[in-house]
Amino acid sequence: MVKLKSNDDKEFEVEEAAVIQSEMIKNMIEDGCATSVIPLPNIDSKTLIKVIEYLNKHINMGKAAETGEEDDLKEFDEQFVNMGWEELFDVIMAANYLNIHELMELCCQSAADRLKNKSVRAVREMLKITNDLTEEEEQEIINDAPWAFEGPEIDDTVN
Amino acid sequence: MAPKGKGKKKGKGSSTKTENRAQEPNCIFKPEIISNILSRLPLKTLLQFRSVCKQWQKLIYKPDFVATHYSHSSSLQRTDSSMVIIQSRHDGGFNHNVLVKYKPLLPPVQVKNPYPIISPKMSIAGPVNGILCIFQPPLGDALTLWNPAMNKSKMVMLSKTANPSQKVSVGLGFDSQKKDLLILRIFCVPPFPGCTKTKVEFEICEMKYPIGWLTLKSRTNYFYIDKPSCDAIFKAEPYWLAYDYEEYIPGKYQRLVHFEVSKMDFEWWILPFIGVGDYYANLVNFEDSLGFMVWKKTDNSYIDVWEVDDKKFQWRKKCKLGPLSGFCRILGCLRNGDVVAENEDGVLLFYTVNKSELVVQNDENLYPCSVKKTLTVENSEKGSHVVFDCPEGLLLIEGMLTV
Repeated sequence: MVKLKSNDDKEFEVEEAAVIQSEMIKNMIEDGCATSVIPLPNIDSKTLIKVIEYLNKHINMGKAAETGEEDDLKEFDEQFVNMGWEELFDVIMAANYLNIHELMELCCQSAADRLKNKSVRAVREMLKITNDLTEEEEQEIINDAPWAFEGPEIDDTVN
Repeated sequence: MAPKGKGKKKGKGSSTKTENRAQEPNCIFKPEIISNILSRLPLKTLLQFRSVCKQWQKLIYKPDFVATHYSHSSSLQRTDSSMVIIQSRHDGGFNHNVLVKYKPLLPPVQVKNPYPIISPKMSIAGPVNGILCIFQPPLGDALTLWNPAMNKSKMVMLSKTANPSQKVSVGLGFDSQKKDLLILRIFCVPPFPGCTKTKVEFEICEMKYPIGWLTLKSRTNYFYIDKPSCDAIFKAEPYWLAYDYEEYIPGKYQRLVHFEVSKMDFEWWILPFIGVGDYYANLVNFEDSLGFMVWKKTDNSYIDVWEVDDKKFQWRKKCKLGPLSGFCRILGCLRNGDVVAENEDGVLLFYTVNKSELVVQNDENLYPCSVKKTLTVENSEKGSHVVFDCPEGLLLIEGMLTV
């Protein structure tokens, strides 16, 4: 078992087989730096619980294809990313920090799916980006490929 | 902490990128995360999102981003990025070419033809990273690179050296090291009775570093190609069905020729033995492998799909598709394995492979097929259709202009 500690000082015990899906922790274990508790100063307990839930479910991913559990995993993944935008982003940042490739793929794809039909204004708000383009520059971008700005209605909501 | 430092370095490296980062204190998320998410978006959305901020505007033209985006856009799982380009000749007195963009579920649209000359002869090679190359057979001139998803094109200057043949076959490739597009022109000299082996001559042009055309001679290969463009492109390298120089029988291909970008030379291997009699053959990009499709024309045709076993370097029969009926000729297949054919009336038939109805017959996997969709390109001449499965790509060549 490996002990992980969130930034709000909560400790979680995770099986080594599950936790080594994180390249970062795997390296720490291999280097012998994971003797007691691994502190994770960037991750709060709410997010860490989600990440651990994912790691435990995907523990035998290689075997899933043989045992016919692929559909079950697919369903779990679909349910897993069914969370709020802020929450999803916390998980993405945790997956990036812990270097968990599959989780990163899953969550970034979900983020992309949510951004797909959003308006530029909504995207800026969702990702907390301030617009640094002048009106002329924005117009130039539209003039360069006007057809890209035509078509189905655009979603202006930010969730 | 070490892992954090490692994370920061990822996706960085050049000095220009650090500059962008300094300009961008406004986004709370790391650039590599943003880049990962955006690389999964459709091309049209990305063009809109250029107006989110300056950093995003620059990001989508960076070579690494363009490559990652294309790897997502061309993956088998992505159905929304699939675009089919259909080439056909206009039915009428003045015989010019029509290009149609077809995204399944949406109606087909005729697009502006980037080809600069009004000539009845037009051929296309590609796609490589979202780029098609249009040219005039048989000499492979009036070369025009076209990115149909971005709606931009550019004409390419030809070499000044004399062409030693009356026929040229054009291929496209992508150098993943230099991140550069390559155009290949093979000089094809048809064999004649009693001829001796000659080494194949070709010329190549790299787009990013315009040193012009480089004329080369293949080191070991003797082969003859009778088609104006490559038959398939697999992993960004062109492939041809070709003849043995000394045993040339028109229509009976014996070799699979492949241009290896890293070696700047051709490689070839013998095609599988498929028996005697009349058969037709296509080389296709089939479900992430290079497929050699062979069939005989009967009322109910079955297509044998062969593939090369990478490890053993041998051909093996991957599967059998069929029966297919009601078609006149097969045009090729789409990435997902769907077969595209044309019937006697010039209507395009899209056969879908019913994966769930697999039948195992004499140790062979047989997949039944059914017509999923039919398509008529208005005013197009029967028998003139050519189809290209063209995933959307952001790659632009310097000097490309809106069509």
